[in-house]
Amino acid sequence: MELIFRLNGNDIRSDLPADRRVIDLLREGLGLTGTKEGCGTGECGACTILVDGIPRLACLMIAAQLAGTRVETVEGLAATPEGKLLQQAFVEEGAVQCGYCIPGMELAAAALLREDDNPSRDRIREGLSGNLCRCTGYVKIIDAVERAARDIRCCKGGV
Amino acid sequence: MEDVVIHEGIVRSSDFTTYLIPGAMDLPDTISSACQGHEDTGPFGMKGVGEVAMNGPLPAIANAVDDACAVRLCHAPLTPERLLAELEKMSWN
Amino acid sequence: MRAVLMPPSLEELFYLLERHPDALPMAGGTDLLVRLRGNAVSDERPLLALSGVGELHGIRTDGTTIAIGAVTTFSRIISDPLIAEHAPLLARGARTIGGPAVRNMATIGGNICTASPAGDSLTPLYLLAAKIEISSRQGTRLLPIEEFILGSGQTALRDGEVVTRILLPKLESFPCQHFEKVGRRRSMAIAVTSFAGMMRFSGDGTIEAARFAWGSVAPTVIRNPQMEEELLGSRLDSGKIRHAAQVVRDSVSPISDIRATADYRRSVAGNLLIRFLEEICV
Repeated sequence: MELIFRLNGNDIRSDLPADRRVIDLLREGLGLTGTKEGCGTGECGACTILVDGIPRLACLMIAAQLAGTRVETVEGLAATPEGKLLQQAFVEEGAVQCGYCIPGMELAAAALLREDDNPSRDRIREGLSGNLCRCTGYVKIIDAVERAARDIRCCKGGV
Repeated sequence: MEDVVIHEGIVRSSDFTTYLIPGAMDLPDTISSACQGHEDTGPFGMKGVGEVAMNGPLPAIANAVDDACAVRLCHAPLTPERLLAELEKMSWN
Repeated sequence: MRAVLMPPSLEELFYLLERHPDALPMAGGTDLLVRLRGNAVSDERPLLALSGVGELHGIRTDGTTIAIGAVTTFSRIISDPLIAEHAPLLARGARTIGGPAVRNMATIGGNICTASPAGDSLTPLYLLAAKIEISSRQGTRLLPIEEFILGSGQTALRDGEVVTRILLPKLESFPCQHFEKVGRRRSMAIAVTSFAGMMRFSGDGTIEAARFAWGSVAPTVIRNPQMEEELLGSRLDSGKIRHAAQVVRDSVSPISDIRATADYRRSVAGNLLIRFLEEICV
Protein backbone atom coordinates (compact mmCIF):
# COMPACT_ATOMS: atom_id res chain seq x y z
CA MET A 1 0.00 0.00 0.00
CA GLU A 2 1.00 3.64 -0.27
CA LEU A 3 1.17 5.07 3.22
CA ILE A 4 1.01 8.81 3.85
CA PHE A 5 1.48 10.21 7.34
CA ARG A 6 3.25 12.91 9.28
CA LEU A 7 6.36 11.92 11.25
CA ASN A 8 8.10 14.31 13.64
CA GLY A 9 6.70 17.23 11.66
CA ASN A 10 7.63 15.89 8.23
CA ASP A 11 5.35 14.42 5.59
CA ILE A 12 6.21 10.83 4.75
CA ARG A 13 5.10 8.90 1.73
CA SER A 14 6.07 5.26 1.72
CA ASP A 15 5.22 2.21 -0.35
CA LEU A 16 5.20 -0.85 1.85
CA PRO A 17 3.25 -3.90 2.97
CA ALA A 18 0.16 -2.78 4.89
CA ASP A 19 0.78 -5.34 7.63
CA ARG A 20 4.34 -4.24 8.31
CA ARG A 21 4.89 -3.62 12.02
CA VAL A 22 5.23 0.07 12.75
CA ILE A 23 8.34 -0.60 14.80
CA ASP A 24 9.98 -2.20 11.76
CA LEU A 25 8.84 0.66 9.56
CA LEU A 26 10.43 3.16 11.93
CA ARG A 27 13.66 1.33 12.67
CA GLU A 28 14.42 -0.39 9.40
CA GLY A 29 12.30 1.40 6.83
CA LEU A 30 13.08 4.91 8.01
CA GLY A 31 16.32 4.40 9.95
CA LEU A 32 14.89 5.86 13.17
CA THR A 33 16.36 3.47 15.70
CA GLY A 34 15.42 5.51 18.76
CA THR A 35 12.27 3.43 19.22
CA LYS A 36 13.32 0.13 20.83
CA GLU A 37 11.86 -3.36 20.71
CA GLY A 38 12.02 -5.00 24.12
CA CYS A 39 9.51 -7.81 23.73
CA GLY A 40 7.39 -7.48 20.59
CA THR A 41 4.27 -8.43 22.57
CA GLY A 42 3.20 -5.16 24.13
CA GLU A 43 4.47 -5.99 27.61
CA CYS A 44 7.42 -3.65 28.13
CA GLY A 45 6.60 -0.26 26.58
CA ALA A 46 10.05 0.27 25.06
CA CYS A 47 8.44 0.81 21.67
CA THR A 48 6.10 3.58 22.88
CA ILE A 49 5.44 6.27 20.28
CA LEU A 50 2.85 9.05 20.14
CA VAL A 51 0.17 8.76 17.48
CA ASP A 52 -2.02 11.86 17.26
CA GLY A 53 -0.58 12.80 20.63
CA ILE A 54 -1.48 9.62 22.50
CA PRO A 55 0.95 6.88 23.55
CA ARG A 56 0.69 3.65 21.59
CA LEU A 57 2.89 0.59 21.15
CA ALA A 58 4.70 0.43 17.81
CA CYS A 59 5.24 -3.33 18.09
CA LEU A 60 1.50 -3.91 18.10
CA MET A 61 0.60 -1.54 15.30
CA ILE A 62 0.61 -2.23 11.60
CA ALA A 63 1.54 0.33 8.98
CA ALA A 64 -2.01 0.62 7.66
CA GLN A 65 -3.07 2.10 11.00
CA LEU A 66 -0.77 5.10 10.54
CA ALA A 67 -2.51 6.47 7.45
CA GLY A 68 -3.27 10.13 7.93
CA THR A 69 -1.92 10.26 11.47
CA ARG A 70 0.63 12.47 13.18
CA VAL A 71 3.43 10.39 14.69
CA GLU A 72 6.10 11.50 17.17
CA THR A 73 9.12 9.40 18.05
CA VAL A 74 11.95 10.18 20.45
CA GLU A 75 13.94 11.66 17.60
CA GLY A 76 11.33 14.40 17.31
CA LEU A 77 11.18 15.20 21.00
CA ALA A 78 14.13 17.60 21.04
CA ALA A 79 12.42 19.71 18.38
CA THR A 80 10.05 21.16 20.97
CA PRO A 81 11.08 23.29 23.96
CA GLU A 82 9.17 20.99 26.33
CA GLY A 83 10.84 17.93 24.83
CA LYS A 84 14.27 19.49 25.27
CA LEU A 85 13.58 20.31 28.91
CA LEU A 86 12.30 16.78 29.47
CA GLN A 87 15.42 15.19 28.01
CA GLN A 88 17.65 17.57 29.95
CA ALA A 89 15.86 16.63 33.16
CA PHE A 90 16.43 12.93 32.48
CA VAL A 91 20.14 13.54 32.05
CA GLU A 92 20.54 15.82 35.05
CA GLU A 93 18.58 13.61 37.45
CA GLY A 94 20.62 10.52 36.54
CA ALA A 95 17.51 8.79 35.21
CA VAL A 96 19.41 7.04 32.40
CA GLN A 97 21.43 3.87 32.98
CA CYS A 98 21.50 1.48 30.05
CA GLY A 99 19.14 3.76 28.17
CA TYR A 100 16.96 1.10 26.58
CA CYS A 101 13.68 2.08 28.25
CA ILE A 102 14.32 5.79 27.96
CA PRO A 103 12.78 6.66 24.59
CA GLY A 104 9.54 4.97 25.61
CA MET A 105 9.69 6.58 29.06
CA GLU A 106 10.24 10.04 27.60
CA LEU A 107 7.33 9.77 25.20
CA ALA A 108 5.02 8.43 27.89
CA ALA A 109 6.18 11.29 30.13
CA ALA A 110 5.72 13.87 27.37
CA ALA A 111 2.15 12.72 26.83
CA LEU A 112 1.50 12.82 30.58
CA LEU A 113 2.89 16.33 30.97
CA ARG A 114 0.79 17.63 28.09
CA GLU A 115 -2.29 16.38 29.88
CA ASP A 116 -1.26 17.27 33.44
CA ASP A 117 1.39 19.93 33.88
CA ASN A 118 1.78 19.34 37.63
CA PRO A 119 1.40 15.63 38.23
CA SER A 120 1.94 14.07 41.65
CA ARG A 121 4.55 11.33 41.99
CA ASP A 122 1.73 8.76 42.09
CA ARG A 123 0.26 10.18 38.91
CA ILE A 124 3.70 10.01 37.27
CA ARG A 125 4.05 6.38 38.34
CA GLU A 126 0.69 5.64 36.78
CA GLY A 127 1.61 7.43 33.57
CA LEU A 128 4.79 5.36 33.33
CA SER A 129 3.18 2.13 34.48
CA GLY A 130 3.38 0.65 30.99
CA ASN A 131 7.13 1.19 30.68
CA LEU A 132 9.42 -1.36 32.31
CA CYS A 133 12.90 -0.46 33.50
CA ARG A 134 15.30 -3.10 34.75
CA CYS A 135 18.10 -0.77 35.80
CA THR A 136 16.93 2.19 37.81
CA GLY A 137 14.06 1.15 40.08
CA TYR A 138 12.18 4.14 38.58
CA VAL A 139 12.95 6.63 41.37
CA LYS A 140 15.21 8.89 39.34
CA ILE A 141 12.96 8.63 36.31
CA ILE A 142 10.08 9.91 38.42
CA ASP A 143 12.37 12.63 39.81
CA ALA A 144 13.22 13.61 36.22
CA VAL A 145 9.58 13.88 35.18
CA GLU A 146 8.81 15.95 38.28
CA ARG A 147 11.71 18.24 37.50
CA ALA A 148 10.71 18.51 33.85
CA ALA A 149 7.18 19.46 34.91
CA ARG A 150 8.63 22.21 37.08
CA ASP A 151 11.00 23.42 34.36
CA ILE A 152 8.28 23.46 31.74
CA ARG A 153 5.88 25.35 34.00
CA CYS A 154 8.51 27.90 34.86
CA CYS A 155 9.72 28.32 31.33
CA LYS A 156 6.38 28.49 29.52
CA GLY A 157 6.61 31.43 27.18
CA GLY A 158 10.18 32.08 28.14
CA VAL A 159 12.31 29.47 26.34
CA MET B 1 7.14 -11.33 40.66
CA GLU B 2 10.55 -12.44 39.47
CA ASP B 3 9.83 -16.14 39.77
CA VAL B 4 11.77 -18.46 37.45
CA VAL B 5 9.34 -21.29 36.87
CA ILE B 6 10.86 -24.51 35.59
CA HIS B 7 8.64 -27.43 34.74
CA GLU B 8 9.98 -30.73 33.44
CA GLY B 9 13.31 -29.09 32.69
CA ILE B 10 11.90 -26.25 30.63
CA VAL B 11 11.84 -22.63 31.74
CA ARG B 12 8.18 -21.60 31.53
CA SER B 13 8.66 -18.00 32.56
CA SER B 14 10.61 -17.08 29.48
CA ASP B 15 9.24 -13.71 28.40
CA PHE B 16 8.01 -10.43 29.88
CA THR B 17 4.48 -11.79 30.12
CA THR B 18 5.44 -14.66 32.38
CA TYR B 19 8.62 -13.44 34.08
CA LEU B 20 7.32 -10.35 35.82
CA ILE B 21 9.60 -7.51 36.83
CA PRO B 22 8.32 -4.61 38.91
CA GLY B 23 6.80 -1.60 37.19
CA ALA B 24 6.74 2.00 38.35
CA MET B 25 3.67 1.39 40.54
CA ASP B 26 5.22 -1.59 42.34
CA LEU B 27 8.32 -0.01 43.84
CA PRO B 28 8.45 2.61 46.59
CA ASP B 29 10.71 5.62 46.62
CA THR B 30 14.14 4.61 47.86
CA ILE B 31 16.94 6.63 49.37
CA SER B 32 20.54 5.72 48.65
CA SER B 33 23.08 6.63 51.31
CA ALA B 34 26.79 6.12 50.87
CA CYS B 35 28.52 4.60 53.91
CA GLN B 36 32.19 5.08 54.57
CA GLY B 37 34.07 1.78 54.91
CA HIS B 38 37.45 0.22 54.27
CA GLU B 39 38.31 -3.01 52.47
CA ASP B 40 41.82 -4.11 53.42
CA THR B 41 42.27 -6.24 50.32
CA GLY B 42 41.06 -3.57 47.92
CA PRO B 43 43.12 -0.92 46.13
CA PHE B 44 43.15 2.20 48.28
CA GLY B 45 40.69 0.41 50.55
CA MET B 46 38.02 0.37 47.86
CA LYS B 47 35.42 -2.28 47.15
CA GLY B 48 32.93 -2.54 44.28
CA VAL B 49 29.34 -2.09 45.45
CA GLY B 50 27.43 -3.45 42.50
CA GLU B 51 26.90 -7.16 43.09
CA VAL B 52 27.53 -7.21 46.82
CA ALA B 53 24.62 -4.85 47.39
CA MET B 54 22.32 -7.49 45.95
CA ASN B 55 22.67 -9.73 49.02
CA GLY B 56 21.09 -7.50 51.63
CA PRO B 57 17.55 -6.63 50.52
CA LEU B 58 16.05 -10.11 50.38
CA PRO B 59 16.86 -11.13 53.97
CA ALA B 60 15.91 -7.65 55.17
CA ILE B 61 12.49 -7.95 53.56
CA ALA B 62 12.07 -11.50 54.85
CA ASN B 63 12.80 -10.15 58.33
CA ALA B 64 10.21 -7.43 57.82
CA VAL B 65 7.61 -9.99 56.75
CA ASP B 66 8.38 -12.01 59.85
CA ASP B 67 8.10 -8.91 62.01
CA ALA B 68 4.76 -7.97 60.47
CA CYS B 69 3.13 -11.38 60.16
CA ALA B 70 5.11 -13.79 62.35
CA VAL B 71 5.75 -15.86 59.23
CA ARG B 72 9.24 -17.00 58.24
CA LEU B 73 9.36 -17.34 54.47
CA CYS B 74 12.57 -18.97 53.29
CA HIS B 75 11.84 -19.23 49.60
CA ALA B 76 12.15 -16.30 47.23
CA PRO B 77 10.22 -14.58 45.79
CA LEU B 78 8.17 -13.77 48.85
CA THR B 79 4.89 -13.86 46.99
CA PRO B 80 1.45 -13.04 48.40
CA GLU B 81 0.47 -16.62 47.58
CA ARG B 82 3.22 -18.11 49.72
CA LEU B 83 2.51 -15.70 52.55
CA LEU B 84 -1.23 -16.32 52.47
CA ALA B 85 -0.68 -20.09 52.59
CA GLU B 86 1.43 -19.68 55.74
CA LEU B 87 -1.05 -17.31 57.36
CA GLU B 88 -3.87 -19.73 56.67
CA LYS B 89 -1.86 -22.59 58.20
CA MET B 90 -1.32 -20.43 61.27
CA SER B 91 -4.99 -19.63 61.65
CA TRP B 92 -5.94 -23.30 61.50
CA ASN B 93 -3.58 -24.13 64.39
CA MET C 1 2.51 -10.99 4.16
CA ARG C 2 -1.12 -10.27 4.91
CA ALA C 3 -3.53 -8.04 3.10
CA VAL C 4 -5.13 -5.43 5.34
CA LEU C 5 -8.72 -4.60 4.57
CA MET C 6 -9.93 -1.29 6.04
CA PRO C 7 -13.63 -0.78 5.44
CA PRO C 8 -14.88 2.76 6.10
CA SER C 9 -18.45 1.70 6.84
CA LEU C 10 -20.53 -1.15 8.25
CA GLU C 11 -21.94 -1.91 4.83
CA GLU C 12 -18.46 -2.29 3.37
CA LEU C 13 -17.45 -4.35 6.41
CA PHE C 14 -20.24 -6.88 5.90
CA TYR C 15 -19.45 -7.06 2.20
CA LEU C 16 -15.80 -7.83 2.94
CA LEU C 17 -16.72 -10.35 5.63
CA GLU C 18 -18.73 -12.30 3.09
CA ARG C 19 -16.15 -12.04 0.35
CA HIS C 20 -13.32 -13.04 2.70
CA PRO C 21 -14.75 -15.52 5.21
CA ASP C 22 -11.24 -16.34 6.41
CA ALA C 23 -10.39 -12.73 7.23
CA LEU C 24 -9.36 -11.96 10.82
CA PRO C 25 -11.32 -9.05 12.32
CA MET C 26 -9.00 -6.70 14.19
CA ALA C 27 -10.05 -4.01 16.63
CA GLY C 28 -7.14 -2.71 18.73
CA GLY C 29 -4.92 -5.63 17.77
CA THR C 30 -3.47 -6.02 21.26
CA ASP C 31 -4.63 -9.64 21.59
CA LEU C 32 -4.81 -10.65 17.93
CA LEU C 33 -1.37 -9.51 16.81
CA VAL C 34 0.31 -11.14 19.80
CA ARG C 35 -1.50 -14.39 19.11
CA LEU C 36 -0.60 -14.33 15.41
CA ARG C 37 3.05 -13.73 16.18
CA GLY C 38 3.03 -16.64 18.57
CA ASN C 39 2.00 -19.01 15.81
CA ALA C 40 4.78 -21.28 14.65
CA VAL C 41 3.58 -21.19 11.06
CA SER C 42 2.37 -17.98 9.51
CA ASP C 43 -0.70 -17.92 7.31
CA GLU C 44 -1.88 -15.52 4.63
CA ARG C 45 -5.31 -14.70 6.04
CA PRO C 46 -6.13 -11.03 5.55
CA LEU C 47 -6.64 -8.70 8.47
CA LEU C 48 -9.97 -6.91 8.58
CA ALA C 49 -9.37 -3.64 10.43
CA LEU C 50 -12.50 -2.43 12.19
CA SER C 51 -11.12 0.89 13.41
CA GLY C 52 -12.16 2.78 10.27
CA VAL C 53 -15.84 2.02 10.76
CA GLY C 54 -17.31 5.12 12.39
CA GLU C 55 -20.47 3.35 13.59
CA LEU C 56 -18.33 1.14 15.84
CA HIS C 57 -16.90 4.02 17.85
CA GLY C 58 -18.34 6.17 20.57
CA ILE C 59 -20.62 6.09 23.58
CA ARG C 60 -24.20 7.28 23.33
CA THR C 61 -27.46 7.09 25.19
CA ASP C 62 -31.08 7.25 24.13
CA GLY C 63 -32.24 7.78 27.71
CA THR C 64 -32.78 4.16 28.75
CA THR C 65 -29.73 2.41 27.36
CA ILE C 66 -26.07 3.29 27.03
CA ALA C 67 -24.59 2.04 23.77
CA ILE C 68 -20.83 1.59 23.53
CA GLY C 69 -19.33 1.04 20.08
CA ALA C 70 -17.39 -2.23 19.96
CA VAL C 71 -14.17 -0.53 18.84
CA THR C 72 -14.25 2.08 21.62
CA THR C 73 -10.94 2.04 23.48
CA PHE C 74 -10.68 1.60 27.21
CA SER C 75 -9.09 5.03 27.56
CA ARG C 76 -12.22 6.52 26.04
CA ILE C 77 -14.43 4.48 28.35
CA ILE C 78 -12.45 5.55 31.40
CA SER C 79 -12.79 9.25 30.60
CA ASP C 80 -16.40 9.22 29.41
CA PRO C 81 -18.95 11.15 31.52
CA LEU C 82 -21.87 8.84 30.63
CA ILE C 83 -19.90 5.84 31.87
CA ALA C 84 -18.78 7.72 34.97
CA GLU C 85 -22.36 8.49 35.86
CA HIS C 86 -24.18 5.31 34.90
CA ALA C 87 -21.59 2.52 34.77
CA PRO C 88 -18.61 3.54 36.95
CA LEU C 89 -17.83 -0.11 37.66
CA LEU C 90 -16.91 -0.59 34.01
CA ALA C 91 -14.48 2.32 34.19
CA ARG C 92 -12.95 0.83 37.34
CA GLY C 93 -12.38 -2.50 35.63
CA ALA C 94 -11.02 -0.79 32.54
CA ARG C 95 -8.49 1.18 34.60
CA THR C 96 -6.76 -2.06 35.57
CA ILE C 97 -6.18 -3.24 32.01
CA GLY C 98 -2.55 -3.27 30.86
CA GLY C 99 -0.88 0.13 30.97
CA PRO C 100 -1.66 3.56 29.51
CA ALA C 101 -0.60 2.77 25.93
CA VAL C 102 -2.44 -0.55 25.95
CA ARG C 103 -5.61 1.20 27.16
CA ASN C 104 -5.27 3.62 24.26
CA MET C 105 -5.36 0.71 21.83
CA ALA C 106 -7.39 -2.11 23.40
CA THR C 107 -11.13 -2.10 22.81
CA ILE C 108 -14.15 -3.32 24.72
CA GLY C 109 -15.32 -5.43 21.78
CA GLY C 110 -11.91 -7.03 21.53
CA ASN C 111 -11.83 -7.79 25.26
CA ILE C 112 -15.24 -9.47 25.04
CA CYS C 113 -14.48 -11.46 21.89
CA THR C 114 -11.13 -12.66 23.24
CA ALA C 115 -13.28 -14.03 26.08
CA SER C 116 -10.40 -14.66 28.42
CA PRO C 117 -11.49 -15.88 31.86
CA ALA C 118 -9.33 -13.01 33.13
CA GLY C 119 -10.82 -10.22 31.00
CA ASP C 120 -11.02 -7.19 33.26
CA SER C 121 -14.01 -5.53 31.60
CA LEU C 122 -16.02 -8.73 31.82
CA THR C 123 -16.87 -9.00 35.53
CA PRO C 124 -18.35 -5.48 35.56
CA LEU C 125 -20.22 -6.14 32.31
CA TYR C 126 -21.89 -9.23 33.75
CA LEU C 127 -23.12 -7.22 36.73
CA LEU C 128 -24.21 -4.34 34.52
CA ALA C 129 -26.48 -6.75 32.58
CA ALA C 130 -24.64 -5.96 29.34
CA LYS C 131 -26.17 -7.11 26.08
CA ILE C 132 -23.97 -7.78 23.07
CA GLU C 133 -25.24 -6.55 19.72
CA ILE C 134 -24.10 -8.84 16.92
CA SER C 135 -24.55 -7.74 13.32
CA SER C 136 -24.14 -9.18 9.86
CA ARG C 137 -25.47 -8.58 6.38
CA GLN C 138 -28.57 -10.50 7.45
CA GLY C 139 -29.40 -8.25 10.37
CA THR C 140 -28.83 -7.79 14.06
CA ARG C 141 -29.30 -9.94 17.13
CA LEU C 142 -28.82 -9.31 20.81
CA LEU C 143 -27.40 -11.68 23.41
CA PRO C 144 -26.87 -11.15 27.13
CA ILE C 145 -23.13 -11.29 27.77
CA GLU C 146 -23.44 -14.51 29.78
CA GLU C 147 -24.91 -16.18 26.70
CA PHE C 148 -22.39 -14.60 24.33
CA ILE C 149 -19.30 -15.85 26.15
CA LEU C 150 -19.46 -19.63 26.08
CA GLY C 151 -16.12 -20.67 27.51
CA SER C 152 -12.49 -19.71 27.68
CA GLY C 153 -11.81 -18.07 24.32
CA GLN C 154 -15.20 -19.08 22.95
CA THR C 155 -18.07 -16.89 21.91
CA ALA C 156 -21.39 -17.30 20.14
CA LEU C 157 -20.16 -15.31 17.14
CA ARG C 158 -20.94 -16.98 13.82
CA ASP C 159 -19.27 -16.60 10.42
CA GLY C 160 -20.02 -13.29 8.81
CA GLU C 161 -20.87 -11.63 12.14
CA VAL C 162 -19.18 -8.91 14.16
CA VAL C 163 -19.95 -7.41 17.53
CA THR C 164 -21.12 -3.88 16.81
CA ARG C 165 -22.23 -2.44 20.16
CA ILE C 166 -22.39 -3.23 23.85
CA LEU C 167 -25.67 -2.12 25.40
CA LEU C 168 -26.00 -1.31 29.07
CA PRO C 169 -29.47 -0.77 30.51
CA LYS C 170 -29.79 2.08 32.96
CA LEU C 171 -29.89 0.27 36.28
CA GLU C 172 -31.46 1.18 39.57
CA SER C 173 -28.97 2.73 41.88
CA PHE C 174 -26.44 0.55 43.65
CA PRO C 175 -24.76 2.86 46.14
CA CYS C 176 -22.18 0.25 47.05
CA GLN C 177 -20.00 -0.87 44.14
CA HIS C 178 -16.55 -2.36 44.02
CA PHE C 179 -14.15 -3.89 41.55
CA GLU C 180 -10.92 -5.46 42.62
CA LYS C 181 -8.31 -7.26 40.62
CA VAL C 182 -5.59 -9.28 42.26
CA GLY C 183 -2.63 -9.49 39.95
CA ARG C 184 1.02 -10.27 40.45
CA ARG C 185 1.94 -6.62 40.06
CA ARG C 186 0.10 -3.31 39.99
CA SER C 187 -0.04 -2.80 36.25
CA MET C 188 0.54 -4.82 33.07
CA ALA C 189 -0.80 -7.83 34.95
CA ILE C 190 -3.23 -10.56 34.04
CA ALA C 191 -5.75 -11.06 36.83
CA VAL C 192 -5.11 -13.97 39.16
CA THR C 193 -8.56 -13.46 40.65
CA SER C 194 -10.95 -10.57 40.21
CA PHE C 195 -14.19 -9.55 41.84
CA ALA C 196 -17.00 -7.14 41.11
CA GLY C 197 -19.85 -6.42 43.50
CA MET C 198 -22.89 -4.18 43.65
CA MET C 199 -25.17 -3.85 46.67
CA ARG C 200 -28.07 -1.85 47.93
CA PHE C 201 -29.44 -1.75 51.46
CA SER C 202 -32.98 -0.98 52.58
CA GLY C 203 -33.71 1.71 55.12
CA ASP C 204 -33.69 -0.89 57.91
CA GLY C 205 -30.17 -2.04 57.06
CA THR C 206 -31.11 -5.32 55.36
CA ILE C 207 -29.88 -6.23 51.89
CA GLU C 208 -32.27 -5.13 49.18
CA ALA C 209 -30.20 -6.13 46.15
CA ALA C 210 -26.87 -7.87 45.69
CA ARG C 211 -24.85 -8.90 42.67
CA PHE C 212 -21.38 -10.45 42.66
CA ALA C 213 -19.12 -11.80 39.92
CA TRP C 214 -15.71 -13.40 39.91
CA GLY C 215 -13.09 -13.64 37.17
CA SER C 216 -10.17 -16.02 36.63
CA VAL C 217 -11.64 -18.74 38.83
CA ALA C 218 -13.55 -20.61 36.12
CA PRO C 219 -13.55 -20.79 32.30
CA THR C 220 -15.84 -17.76 32.23
CA VAL C 221 -16.91 -15.05 34.67
CA ILE C 222 -19.17 -16.63 37.25
CA ARG C 223 -21.92 -15.48 39.51
CA ASN C 224 -23.71 -17.23 42.34
CA PRO C 225 -27.43 -16.44 41.98
CA GLN C 226 -28.38 -18.78 44.79
CA MET C 227 -26.14 -17.00 47.24
CA GLU C 228 -27.35 -13.61 46.04
CA GLU C 229 -30.93 -14.79 46.60
CA GLU C 230 -30.17 -16.08 50.10
CA LEU C 231 -28.71 -12.76 51.18
CA LEU C 232 -31.76 -10.72 50.25
CA GLY C 233 -33.63 -9.33 53.20
CA SER C 234 -30.93 -10.34 55.64
CA ARG C 235 -28.62 -8.29 57.77
CA LEU C 236 -24.89 -8.85 57.37
CA ASP C 237 -22.90 -10.17 60.29
CA SER C 238 -19.51 -11.76 60.60
CA GLY C 239 -20.90 -15.29 60.58
CA LYS C 240 -23.00 -14.74 57.45
CA ILE C 241 -20.09 -13.12 55.66
CA ARG C 242 -17.72 -15.94 56.40
CA HIS C 243 -20.33 -18.51 55.41
CA ALA C 244 -20.88 -16.70 52.10
CA ALA C 245 -17.13 -16.68 51.47
CA GLN C 246 -16.96 -20.42 52.04
CA VAL C 247 -19.87 -20.99 49.66
CA VAL C 248 -17.91 -19.04 47.06
CA ARG C 249 -14.75 -21.06 47.64
CA ASP C 250 -16.69 -24.29 47.25
CA SER C 251 -18.33 -23.16 44.06
CA VAL C 252 -15.41 -21.90 41.97
CA SER C 253 -13.31 -24.10 39.70
CA PRO C 254 -9.96 -22.37 39.21
CA ILE C 255 -6.93 -23.87 37.54
CA SER C 256 -3.30 -23.79 38.55
CA ASP C 257 -1.08 -22.05 36.04
CA ILE C 258 2.14 -20.08 35.90
CA ARG C 259 0.52 -17.15 37.68
CA ALA C 260 -1.07 -18.88 40.67
CA THR C 261 -2.29 -22.16 42.08
CA ALA C 262 -5.95 -23.14 42.16
CA ASP C 263 -5.87 -23.11 45.97
CA TYR C 264 -4.68 -19.53 46.08
CA ARG C 265 -7.33 -18.42 43.61
CA ARG C 266 -10.00 -20.23 45.59
CA SER C 267 -8.85 -18.57 48.79
CA VAL C 268 -8.67 -15.11 47.27
CA ALA C 269 -12.12 -15.42 45.66
CA GLY C 270 -13.65 -15.85 49.11
CA ASN C 271 -11.45 -13.16 50.65
CA LEU C 272 -12.43 -10.56 48.07
CA LEU C 273 -16.08 -11.11 48.95
CA ILE C 274 -15.27 -10.72 52.63
CA ARG C 275 -13.43 -7.47 51.92
CA PHE C 276 -16.37 -6.18 49.94
CA LEU C 277 -18.94 -7.04 52.59
CA GLU C 278 -16.90 -6.11 55.66
CA GLU C 279 -14.97 -3.07 54.55
CA ILE C 280 -16.57 -1.55 51.51
CA CYS C 281 -20.23 -1.98 52.22
CA VAL C 282 -20.46 -0.81 55.77
